[in-house]
Amino acid sequence: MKTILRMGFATLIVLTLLIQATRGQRGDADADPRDALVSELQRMDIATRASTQEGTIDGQAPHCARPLHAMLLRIDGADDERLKGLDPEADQIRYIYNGIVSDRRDWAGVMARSALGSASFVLGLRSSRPRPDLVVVSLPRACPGLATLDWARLSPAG
Amino acid sequence: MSRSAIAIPKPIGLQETGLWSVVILAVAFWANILRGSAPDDLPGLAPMITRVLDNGAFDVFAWGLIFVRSSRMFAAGPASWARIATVFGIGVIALAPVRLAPGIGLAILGVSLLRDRAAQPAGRQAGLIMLGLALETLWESRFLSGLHILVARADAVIVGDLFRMIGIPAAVSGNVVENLDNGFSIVIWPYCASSMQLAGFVLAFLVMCLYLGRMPRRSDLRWLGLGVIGSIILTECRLVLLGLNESSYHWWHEGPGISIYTVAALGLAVLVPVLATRDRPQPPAAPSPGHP
Repeated sequence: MKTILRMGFATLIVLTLLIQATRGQRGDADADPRDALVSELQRMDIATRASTQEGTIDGQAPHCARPLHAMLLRIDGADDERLKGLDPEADQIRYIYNGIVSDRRDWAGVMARSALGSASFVLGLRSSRPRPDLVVVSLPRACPGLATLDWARLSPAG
Repeated sequence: MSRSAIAIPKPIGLQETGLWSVVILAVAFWANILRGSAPDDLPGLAPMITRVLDNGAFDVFAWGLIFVRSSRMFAAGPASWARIATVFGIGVIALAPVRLAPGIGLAILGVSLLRDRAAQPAGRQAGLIMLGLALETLWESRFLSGLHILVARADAVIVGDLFRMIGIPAAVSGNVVENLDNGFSIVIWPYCASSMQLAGFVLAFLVMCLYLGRMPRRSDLRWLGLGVIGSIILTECRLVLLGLNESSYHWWHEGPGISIYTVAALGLAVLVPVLATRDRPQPPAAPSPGHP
């Protein structure tokens, strides 16, 4: 009995090391999130260029003369000050996190989805950890068609 | 007539289960740090070493004290099946490849050691340290970073006031402080907020008290409170220095200033428990029977 118990404890240690070594290697964070965002915008036929505003990507959609803007924000609100630079009168703002698009900064909802995504990742139900940042896009109201695009793909559910 | 006896399996010793539980949790705790389980942790040896160093001298010290006590946590005797099941339960929780998992395991084991009548004084001490480590793990997890952001906003207001006190005009917006003299601004991130270091300070206080030879008492709370205030003041001073100008920022953020801040924080974490343990002299130990 003693030997079985000892083997059980030792197995837990070995399994811990194996799981740490083989699984959950930072998930999708290995890729640069900004590069991933630029690539996804380009796949949506939106030409991108660096913005004069730090941390923001300017995009030019076909059939819309005015540029749109995209940025990555930490989900915990540490850089929410950057949202003050947006103009909700002229633009429609979309917050995208983990496959969900919202028109307001739903802090609690985002944190809940992050916690749920982390739990799913731990249980092996998703392949990567949810990202620590959400995507914010600012779409010119002059081009209402932009709002109908599939913006959820900028932050897929994983 | 012969009668067959059913042999009841002899379980493992209580002391040995204590040792196994500590080893299981230590492996999970340090494996998470080495691998880097946070989404923005970088791969490679250098970030790995940085993560271990960032985790702090007191975490290493705390684990050292736990290991020293691990073989004396319980009196000699067989472990109950409930105790064995607890160790397996903790081990299963610790399998999850996130840093919070060993934190939860430490909290469970710490509480069980403090409540278990079979636990020896060394076991209760180890339990207290485990709770300190669990608190630190939870406090610094990203699930509480929203709380630290709120504190960072309060820090920004304090830093702005301190700037104005020393004659520097400043503007504060959320967690951003701008030095209006030169236009240099800093963003106070969760990890730089004055609240972030507090769980580490509580752990350091516990560890130092136990190292100095006694369990923390209720009367130590005022010393702990003073130390917490000292830690907050230290962080505010650092934030003011960071916000003076760009060269000062680099000196205090990546340059020699970071060592000065670390030494000051460590000094405070050591000094306060030393003062707390000297605050009230220990009553003279009663002469033990049989000794002259």
